[in-house]
Amino acid sequence: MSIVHQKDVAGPATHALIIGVGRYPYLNGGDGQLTPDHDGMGQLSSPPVSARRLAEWLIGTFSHRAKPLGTVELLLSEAAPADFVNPATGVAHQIEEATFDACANAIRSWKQRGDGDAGNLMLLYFCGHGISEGTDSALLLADYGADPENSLAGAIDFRRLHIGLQRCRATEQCFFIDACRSPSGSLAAAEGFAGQVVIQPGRRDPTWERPVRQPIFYATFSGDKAYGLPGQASIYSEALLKALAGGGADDTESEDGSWRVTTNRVSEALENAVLRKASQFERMQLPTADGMTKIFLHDPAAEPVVPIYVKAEPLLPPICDAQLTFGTTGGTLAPAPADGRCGAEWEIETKVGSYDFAAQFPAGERCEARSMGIRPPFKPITLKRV
Amino acid sequence: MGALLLRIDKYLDTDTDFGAVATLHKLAGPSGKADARSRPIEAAIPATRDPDRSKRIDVDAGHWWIEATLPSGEVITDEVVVRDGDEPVRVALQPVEDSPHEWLGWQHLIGNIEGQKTFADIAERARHETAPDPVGDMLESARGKSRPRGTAARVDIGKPDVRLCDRLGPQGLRGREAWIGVLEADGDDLQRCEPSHSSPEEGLYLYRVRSAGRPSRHNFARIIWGDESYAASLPLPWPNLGGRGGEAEIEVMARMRADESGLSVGVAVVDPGFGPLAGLMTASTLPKARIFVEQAQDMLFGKTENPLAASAGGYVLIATAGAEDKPRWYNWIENLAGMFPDLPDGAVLKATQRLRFPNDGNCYEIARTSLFEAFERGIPFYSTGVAWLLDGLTLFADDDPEARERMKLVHKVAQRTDTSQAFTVIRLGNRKKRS
Repeated sequence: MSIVHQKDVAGPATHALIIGVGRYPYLNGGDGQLTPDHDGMGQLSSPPVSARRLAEWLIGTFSHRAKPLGTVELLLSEAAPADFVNPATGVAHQIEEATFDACANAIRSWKQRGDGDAGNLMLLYFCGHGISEGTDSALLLADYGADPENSLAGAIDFRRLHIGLQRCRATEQCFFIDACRSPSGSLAAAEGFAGQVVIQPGRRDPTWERPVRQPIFYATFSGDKAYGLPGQASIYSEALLKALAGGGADDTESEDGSWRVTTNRVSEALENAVLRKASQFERMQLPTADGMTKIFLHDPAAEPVVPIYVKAEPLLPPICDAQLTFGTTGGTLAPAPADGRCGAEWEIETKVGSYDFAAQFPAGERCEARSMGIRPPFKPITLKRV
Repeated sequence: MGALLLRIDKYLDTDTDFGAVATLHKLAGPSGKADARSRPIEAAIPATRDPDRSKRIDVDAGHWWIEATLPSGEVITDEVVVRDGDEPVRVALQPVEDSPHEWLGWQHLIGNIEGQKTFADIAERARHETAPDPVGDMLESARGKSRPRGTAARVDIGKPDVRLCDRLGPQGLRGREAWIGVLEADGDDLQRCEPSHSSPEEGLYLYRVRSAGRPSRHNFARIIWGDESYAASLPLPWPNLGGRGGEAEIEVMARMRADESGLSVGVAVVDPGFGPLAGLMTASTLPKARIFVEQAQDMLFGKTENPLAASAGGYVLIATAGAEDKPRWYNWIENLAGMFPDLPDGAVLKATQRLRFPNDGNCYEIARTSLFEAFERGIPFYSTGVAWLLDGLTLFADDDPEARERMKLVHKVAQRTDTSQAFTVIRLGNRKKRS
């Protein structure tokens, strides 16, 4: 068991299970016998990084006024295994390898924790290879292909897991699937077998609370790919952390006007951030969600930070050629962070509020936008010539 | 008090009153003092180039933040100041991109195809040879490979062969024959369809069909192009609601890309009233679809003149329902299942409702009966119906051989169903393994 954070909570709590699979011994580039069901897949370096970062964020930053963090369990498969250091306690934890058996045990334990209270919030994040075929999705674990006669024995049938978890008492369950959903010849040939069943689908205890809300946030559209950069967090996980930090916040549902991160807003923030980031690498990646319903995910300690995308109106040079300044409306304008330059846009992250923007190009042309309201999930701004 | 006149500024050959769901947040009062306590206003707004067709929404004076979610999922925001006694403030929200062609306006509106610039970028990238891929560690693991090269679309395989049929396969429409027959469709004798528009160099063909007064049957289009083939469920007939009368046309888009995406098929209903619902009911825009459905509930469920549109509403309501004791729409779903004995989706909805919101001790038994009835009625019109039928049967399959047998047949179809489409689109050929 790789529980890296645990805190006793009286009443409903949040329980997270995080799986990051990068080392696949039986896929291309692995140190095992290449499985005939490799479907072109190979080694990954993004998933362990992504999983670690999310675990760190949950332990260090996550806050929920009604469902404090109870546990975080982490499983990894990485080229160079290393301990995970809990940022709150400083304790180093040895991490179990994300094989099927280890992940199945972790999921069962996680479900049991969920059974403790109908009000529990359950979070599952998976990053690694995924393959899909219609309604079937298989999440591939480190031992995918270990048995060349039954490669999918090292995979989780995610559709059945999702249904099976209706037998978990917790009524709020969120799934973040940071994986490709590419069509797979292996899955098509498997005649309905899409990996092992971890929680058998069946009838929910009729005395338990309903409905069970189970939104799934996919990193990419059905049939498409998800991307990451070598050694860095995946595009989706970066966007997820930004969405949790504020892009996914909403102030319209709370009585006191405070900001709360909700599933609805996270979905919108993810869609924008991932689409833009992937396009920088000339890729199309469009996150999507199934079973979307509003669940409160996080109470930010500070005002949300919102991404804004500034560009100059047509016929002006690209904004990144200009000196761009911005600041709260009526106040002093300061230079925009230089590392925000990105193609035809300048990306800035700033707190909610009203802002002025002004830019001057080397040839002397100027453009601006005044009193621009900034709210989650994001704001595109076009500066007009003055 | 003031007012806003809202619209999505988008060309469609048939304007729609349901171009987007707008959410209006009051940021501050007229003096600029923050107003955090007012509730947001939500409303469907039209997509039209005609300013006179804007939707009027009365609001208090103050600073308003407008956020519109299109059926494609695109979110457009703007901020306006409304002053007491002034003329209504006109707001024309601009989508980031237009449709690649005017004739693809509906497909673009509901998210079946990218916008003009993105579409052009994809085509441009595909035309040029590229250096080794800079995204070395994709989750797809293409380290060291090059990006696809060649043309944007495969132009070497002629045009699609699209045919319409009431029944696929020799065995008919109901029960196990429907679930097996749909995958064995041949049908050279079927009615051939000619495209209403096409762009062969881009690999795009659009077909427009209507039921032409034929009796209500479950129609499919069979699309064969190159070595790929699909069957697309056609929601025919689709009566226009809201006093418009007549019947909406159905669009079938066939698109062939040069990369491994290959052939994709998109179905849209050219109904100014409820056509955009198909886009909203897929994926992450479901909560917005609920607003849309709630505002149109009387039209959808009142007289049940269009059971297919009502089914779409039913999927949205069930998928987004909270923990109400007995949702007020509970009986609508019962009616839909009972009044239309050939509609698979009605029975799927009834079963799912019973499973998710049981209201008595017999719910599992009623759900099982409804699932079996849905199976008997054949392939659901909506892909969500295929998925929910499979999920429902899966719940019973472990200890129920009859459910297990049905589940296996549904699973074969579900595995080939394009879940990104609102209407059921099924791949007929086999997929090859990648090397």
